[in-house]
Amino acid sequence: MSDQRWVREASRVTWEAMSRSEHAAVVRAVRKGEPTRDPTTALLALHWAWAVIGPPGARRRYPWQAALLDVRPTAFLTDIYDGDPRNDVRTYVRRDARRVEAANLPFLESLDT
Amino acid sequence: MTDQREVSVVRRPGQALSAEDGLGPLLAAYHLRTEAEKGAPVADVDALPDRYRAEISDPRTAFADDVVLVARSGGAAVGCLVVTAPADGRPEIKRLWTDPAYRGRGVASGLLGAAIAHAAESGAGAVRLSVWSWRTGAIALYERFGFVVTESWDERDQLVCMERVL
Repeated sequence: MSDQRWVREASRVTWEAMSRSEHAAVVRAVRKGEPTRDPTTALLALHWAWAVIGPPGARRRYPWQAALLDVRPTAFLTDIYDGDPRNDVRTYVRRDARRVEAANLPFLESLDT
Repeated sequence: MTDQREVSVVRRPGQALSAEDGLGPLLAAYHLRTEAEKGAPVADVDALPDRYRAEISDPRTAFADDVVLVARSGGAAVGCLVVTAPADGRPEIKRLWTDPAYRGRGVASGLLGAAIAHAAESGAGAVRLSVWSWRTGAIALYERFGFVVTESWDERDQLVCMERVL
């Protein structure tokens, strides 16, 4: 089913088809301040980040109560970067989404522009 | 060392273009890179298709009905972008190019912002563009500026069509 949070439906489908370890690799890199070096994956990750935090000019707001969900134990058992809106409310998922944008957007733009 | 001087964007109606605008070399680099990316590299400008050579040799005529934006740093042209005359109320952005030595410095952002402002000033309801799918950096830039992928109006494979409502 289409998810309006994504700038492209095709990206949602591709991101959701990626494995937990592939998602984790993206997050590991940006936590070190490094972009994902494969441009296609970098753009895909950027689309995921924008699904979570909203694209520039249309940032998404989450209710403060959403932070309470952070303590759910399933966070250790499941792929919380899978694009599921129930995971995107977590503050640390949003923090990592901002890191993805901060690392990948300048990297991507420097390739062509 | 890379030139760190400020980059400014100059707007030129097509008919006001001159050789001093430095557009030719930028367009040449754009077309040579694009042909290479399409898997049909050519050795030099002379081997480009006629329509592209015409743009490079005589941009004043090729873009007579269009508005050309040139980014300048000091006396040098370091980036360009063309906004076509509107068709169906929608101008089209094309030929966005930044000299590789100036990439990552906001040249294309400046050009794209100026192009959107120009399109809005001219009363257009939307602005559109097409971009090769492998140009992920340009796509990210366009999406940052609010362009969204739309139904394709061009039958060429791997061409992504995008539009931004103004």
